[in-house]
Amino acid sequence: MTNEELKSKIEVDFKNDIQTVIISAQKEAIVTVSPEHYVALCQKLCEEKEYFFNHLSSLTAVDFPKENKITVVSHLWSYKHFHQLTIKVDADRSNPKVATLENIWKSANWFEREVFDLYGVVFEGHSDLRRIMMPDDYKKFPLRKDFADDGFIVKPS
Amino acid sequence: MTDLLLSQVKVGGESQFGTDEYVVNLGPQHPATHGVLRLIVKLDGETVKETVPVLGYLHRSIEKICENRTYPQCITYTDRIDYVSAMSVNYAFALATEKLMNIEAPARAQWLRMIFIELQRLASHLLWMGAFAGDIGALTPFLYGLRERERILDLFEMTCGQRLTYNYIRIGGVMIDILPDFVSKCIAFLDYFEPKIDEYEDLLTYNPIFLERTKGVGVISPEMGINAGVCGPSLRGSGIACDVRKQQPYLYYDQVKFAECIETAGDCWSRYKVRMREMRESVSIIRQSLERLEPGPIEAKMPPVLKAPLNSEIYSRIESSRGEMGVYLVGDGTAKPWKAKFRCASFSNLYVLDQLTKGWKVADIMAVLGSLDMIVPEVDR
Repeated sequence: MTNEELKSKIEVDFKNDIQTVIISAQKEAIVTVSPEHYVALCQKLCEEKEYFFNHLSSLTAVDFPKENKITVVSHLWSYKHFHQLTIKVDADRSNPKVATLENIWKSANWFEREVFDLYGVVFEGHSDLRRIMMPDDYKKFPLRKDFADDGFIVKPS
Repeated sequence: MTDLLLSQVKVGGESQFGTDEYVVNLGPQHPATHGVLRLIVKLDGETVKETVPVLGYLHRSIEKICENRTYPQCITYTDRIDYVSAMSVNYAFALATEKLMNIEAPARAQWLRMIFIELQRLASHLLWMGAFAGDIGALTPFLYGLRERERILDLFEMTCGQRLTYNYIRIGGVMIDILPDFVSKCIAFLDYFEPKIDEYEDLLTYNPIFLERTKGVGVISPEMGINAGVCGPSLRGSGIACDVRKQQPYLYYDQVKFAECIETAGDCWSRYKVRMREMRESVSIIRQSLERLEPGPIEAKMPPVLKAPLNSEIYSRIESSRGEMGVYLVGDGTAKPWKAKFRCASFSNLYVLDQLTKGWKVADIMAVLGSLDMIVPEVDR
C-alpha cells in the first residue's frame, strides 16, 4: 500500500483507537495513539493480513521538555507488503510509563531497554528492564534535554 | 566480583551429569569479540546454558553528540559508528538529511556514492570473511581477505585521502570528484578480484573442517529471525527476502541488475554463503555503475546553512554491509537535529545470540558470533 492508502485505511479501521493519523511533509504515514490503545493497535497491525507489519524496524524516544512529554516512536515495516508506518505514543515526562511491545515483537526487548536507559521511560510488562549502555549504578538519563553533562560534553562555540 | 556476575545471570535448572555450573567471562578483552564486547556465559561442563551480552564498553553517545552539532558536522561522527563500513553510514545520514530538507543530489554524485558503497561492502565482507574464519581456527583466509581489502582501501585513499573513516559522502553530494585514472584502476581491481572469490570458495566453502564447525550450527528459523529483528545477510541466510535495496530502493539501485542472495538453511554456513554471493553481486553493481557514470556536477545547490523545517521528521533506511541501517531525524527549525537515532544492524542481530548458542559448546559461540557479522561500535554507538 502507498502511504496515502495506508492512512485512509487506518482512519477507517481504527477510528476509535487512534488519536490522529497524518501524512508528514516528508510523505511518511504517522499514527498517534493514546497509551491505553497502544499495544492493542500494534497487535492488530502486526497480525492483520492487509497490514502485516511483521518487522519492528526501530523503537526510540524523543524528549520534549516544553510540552512536558516524552514521545516513544516506533517504526514498522512489512516484509510482505513493503510499507512503512510510524507509531507515536506520548508519556508524561515526570513519570514516563508506556506498555511494552515485547510480546508482539521480541526485538523490542533491547530497543526498550535502550530507551529506558537513556530516557528513563519505564516499559510496563517488560521482562528484563535493566540499563544496557550505561553502568548499572548510573543515576541519570543522558539523552534527556536537561541532562546535566558534568562538563563531559564540549559544545562548539 | 562473583556476586556481581551471579546477580546478572539467572541461575536455574539442575545439571544432568552432576557437574557444577560455571560462569565464564568472555571479553571485554577477547580477540573473537571483535571489539570490547563482554559475554557472561553460563556453562554446564562445556555446554552453554545462557549467554548474556553486556554492552556499553564502547558507548560514546554519538546520538547526544549529534544533537549538539550541525548536520554537516554530524557526518564525521557517523564514520565512527561503523568504522569497517563507514561509507554506508555516511550515506545513511546524508540520505535522511536530504529527505528532511528536500535536497536532490546530482546524478554523478549518486553513481559515485553507489560505487563507493559497494566497494565498501566488498571491503567489509572481506574483513568479515577473514575474521569469521579466524574465529573458528582457520587463520589463512584472514591474510587473503586483507590482501584484497588493501587494494580497495587504496582506491578510497586516492579519492578522499582516508583509509578508514572517509567523511566522503556529504549532504547533497560527495566531497570531491574522482581522479581521471580512478575508473581504469577500479576496473583493473574488479578484474583482479573476481577470480579471487573463487579462490576463497576453494579454500573455505566445502572444506570439511569448516563445514563441521558451521553447518547446522546456530540455526535462525525464519519466524524467530523476523520477530527478533535480525536483518541483512543474517536474515537472508534464513530464506527471508529483506534487502532494502530491493524493497525500498534508494540511489539508483532500481536501475541496475543484481540478484538478492538468499539461502534457506539459516545456519552459520548459509550466512557465510549469502555474503560470499553478495560479493559477486557487488562486483556486478560496481561494473554497471562505472558504465553509467557521466560527467556532471557532484554537489547539489544548497543554502549556506542547512536548516531542517520545524517539526519535521524522517526515518530512512539503507542496506549497509551488515544489514538494515536506519536513521531517524527530528528537525526543530535550527541547524542542529533535535533528535538523531541510528538503528544499527549489529545491535538487533546481537540480541538473538543467547537463543542461538543455547545448548551448543562454548567454542560454537565464536562461530555464531562471527557469522552474525557484528561490530561493537555499532552496537554501543
